Amino acid sequence: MLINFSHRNWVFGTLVATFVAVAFYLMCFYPEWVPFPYRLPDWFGMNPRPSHRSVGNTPLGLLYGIISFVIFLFAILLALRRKYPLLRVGRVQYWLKAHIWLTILTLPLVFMHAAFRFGGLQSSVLMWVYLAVMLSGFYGLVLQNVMPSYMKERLPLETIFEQIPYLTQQLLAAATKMRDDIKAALAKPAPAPAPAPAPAPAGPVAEGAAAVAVAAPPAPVAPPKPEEPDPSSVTMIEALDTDVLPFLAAKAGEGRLAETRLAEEFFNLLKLRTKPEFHDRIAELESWCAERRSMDLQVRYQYRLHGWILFHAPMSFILVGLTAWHAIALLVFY
Amino acid sequence: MSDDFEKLEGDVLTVEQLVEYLPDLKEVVLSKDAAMAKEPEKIPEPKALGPFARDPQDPSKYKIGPSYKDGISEAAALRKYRRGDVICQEGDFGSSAFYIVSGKVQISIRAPMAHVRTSSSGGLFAKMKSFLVRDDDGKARDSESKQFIPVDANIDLSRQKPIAELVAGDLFGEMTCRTFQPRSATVIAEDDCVMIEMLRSVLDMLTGTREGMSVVKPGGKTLKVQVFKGSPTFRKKMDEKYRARSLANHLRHVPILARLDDATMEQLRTEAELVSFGPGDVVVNEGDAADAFYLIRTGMVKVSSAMPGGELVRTYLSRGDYFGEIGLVQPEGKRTATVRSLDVVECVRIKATTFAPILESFPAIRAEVKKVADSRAAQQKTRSVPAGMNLGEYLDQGLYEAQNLLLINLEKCTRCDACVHACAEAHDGVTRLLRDGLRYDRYLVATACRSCHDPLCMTQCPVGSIRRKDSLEIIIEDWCIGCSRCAELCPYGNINMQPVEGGKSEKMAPPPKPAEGAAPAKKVEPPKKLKATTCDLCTDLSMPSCVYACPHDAAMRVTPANFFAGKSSAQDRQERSFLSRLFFSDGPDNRTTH
Repeated sequence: MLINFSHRNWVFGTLVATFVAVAFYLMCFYPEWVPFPYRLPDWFGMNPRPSHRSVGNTPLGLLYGIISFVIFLFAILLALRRKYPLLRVGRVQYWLKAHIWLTILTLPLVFMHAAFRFGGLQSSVLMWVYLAVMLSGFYGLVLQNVMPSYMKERLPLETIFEQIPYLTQQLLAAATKMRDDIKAALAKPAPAPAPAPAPAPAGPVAEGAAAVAVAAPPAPVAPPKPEEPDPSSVTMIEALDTDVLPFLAAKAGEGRLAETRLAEEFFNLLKLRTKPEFHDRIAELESWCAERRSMDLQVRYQYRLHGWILFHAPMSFILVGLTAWHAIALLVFY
Repeated sequence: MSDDFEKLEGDVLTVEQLVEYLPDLKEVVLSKDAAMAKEPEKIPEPKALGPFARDPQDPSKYKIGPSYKDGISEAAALRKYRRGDVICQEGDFGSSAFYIVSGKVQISIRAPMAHVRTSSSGGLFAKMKSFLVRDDDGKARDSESKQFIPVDANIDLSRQKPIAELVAGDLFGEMTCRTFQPRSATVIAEDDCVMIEMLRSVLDMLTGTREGMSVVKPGGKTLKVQVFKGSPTFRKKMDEKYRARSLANHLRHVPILARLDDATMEQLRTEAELVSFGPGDVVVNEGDAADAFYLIRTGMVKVSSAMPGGELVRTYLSRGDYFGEIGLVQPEGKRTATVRSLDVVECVRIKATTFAPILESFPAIRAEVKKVADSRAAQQKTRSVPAGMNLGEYLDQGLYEAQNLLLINLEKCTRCDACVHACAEAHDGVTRLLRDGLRYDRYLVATACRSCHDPLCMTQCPVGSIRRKDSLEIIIEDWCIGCSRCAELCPYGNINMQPVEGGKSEKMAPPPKPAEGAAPAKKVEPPKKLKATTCDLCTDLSMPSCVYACPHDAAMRVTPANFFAGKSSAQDRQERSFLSRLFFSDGPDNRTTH
């Protein structure tokens, strides 16, 4: 989601909430840092200078922990919300904004809950998972802010992602058909040679003498030389077999045609080595390869843009599970 | 005219034979002869009118010319059908009309009456979900109000059971013959039948046409003369049939008339005038005094309004539709749109003076019409094009034609396809949008209905199932026969043909069995299980589903003129991400298309 002007209320709200949370924390645990003489009521029951390793067991610390846990639960509900996009429980974009800014709010809450320490093994694991979730979330957010514009600029031929495998197959089929057509044209027998002219009568004919038709013995006919294959066709077939078809058939673009500059050189060279009547076909091949490169690029960008979720989402569920365990364990065992 | 003739199957009839089967036609020929005999000097030159020629025996007289006779001879054929034979099938193309000489036929729509659906909608969870996602805001689907399906015959089919019977003396296929629309229904012989299949020249002669023919007078002045008025007897018969079978249905369909009691309706039915218009005729003109109400009996009209950017086609109306109801109660009111006939159009006309006494008895109706008039006036205001808009920029992509575009901001869109999935979710599992299309500026103009100013898709539907509601959206009713004309006509590929699973086909009557001992009849092909689908703007919901479900605020439905004209650069900058502004330029050169 783009972080733009429309987030101003959320930014403001998060900042205010953070400020309030920090102020309460300071008033509880570091009153000397507070510029005004104010102490929270005693019923808060907190230790003004925590001697233990966490403030999580104090009412304020517990409150921050509970708020964070509720936010975690809300955050994972986004997955469910997206699964049922038509549920009339607020637009998905509001949910996503809330997801982003409320989880950002958990940063101060969690750190204050933990008194800025990692604690024991269980708390440390929980904290590392939390950090992993948050960092992956931030990474995703940055990607969502940058990648769409980047894709718009770099992929003028962007197509429907799910259609890409089908389209690549179509390109391959078209190129294969072109190769087969050229091969078929090459294999066609050359037109039969015109019959040789009748041989001239041997020797001068005496003037006035009756012309006697003498059947001349048939001249030995040399066996027809095998026709040289059209070098342009051979070059085209070779180019298709060695470069174009493997490139189009590969799962992800491979070979020199995967590079725009090398591909340009390749096709320019191919044009030089073939007759002009092949140039239209070469231009067509070039455009197919460009389209394939664009699709490969789109696939890469798409994976990049959405790949982080494969880490973020499971880790979020793990975080919620661990947090629940953390709460139960601490409440029961301590 | 004869260039349009096609070869017909069956026994081609001579003029004399044709007149035997259609005695009313004789009246047309005789009236022409009589007219010519009476005032030969008024008859235009033979060259000008083609079919007419001077009688070689008596040059002062005019006779039906040989070319004309030939035309008729080639344009009608005697067709005999056995019980169970299929005469025509819905969705097929043709160019002829049929007149039933004897026997009776079953006319029906065999396509399943169903929504496009690919996923099961049963189960408790589905019901619960449906309850949760309902957001109709009281906006019921208004298609339910139309209880009949208009077909190309002098009868309408019931929505609940789309089947009817035509008997000797009935005519069907008139619109297909005139405008080459696909057949609107399947017609099967119920008895052994004799029919006359005719091309347009005979149909015109029989039912009349106002299509003019230009005649150049010696002074060089061009006159448009009427070719035929039709056979008065035949027309009278057809009018009577229409009054008896369909007029009441059509009148009941008009919301303001629906509450009338039977006696009043009967009075209206008998007093209504039946009028006809030729292609291109202006039926009512925007700004003129509104003095009558019109109900379309046959043909199609275009309703348009003059706008600063040009003509805005509001809709196309066909059989069973109506316009000008404001004229019934506000004789002093002005027409808010121009209505022009696209082909030969026959209408029922009810004058305000006829309706005035009825209104006195039904004050509620007056109030209702006032409400309609007010809402139309409000719509008129909202549909103005902002001054200063440069329409030229839109030409390449046809955006000037759009009233409502689905735009996807490519700088916000993460290509997650939530919009597509939401659309599918909202429409029984079949999406009506593709996240693909042309780019304009940084927006992708998604492949989804644009609610065009001039909705070409609506011009050829043989059963009137594609229509525009009072608001912008174009909807396709369940009785679509899957002929795909609308999909072919949409210039932007925004109408898709989707296979239909199931439907209420059990309501269809089985085709009549062939007579005993007769050769097996031609089998009725199974109905095309396709339906046209297009974006309906989710008007049942408070917001289009695609827009509602977009997590990144990238999808939006906009009025292009207002959206692009009203966007300031400051708004543009606010919309863009802080990060993307660091990396990418935001100048006008950023505008790309593909």
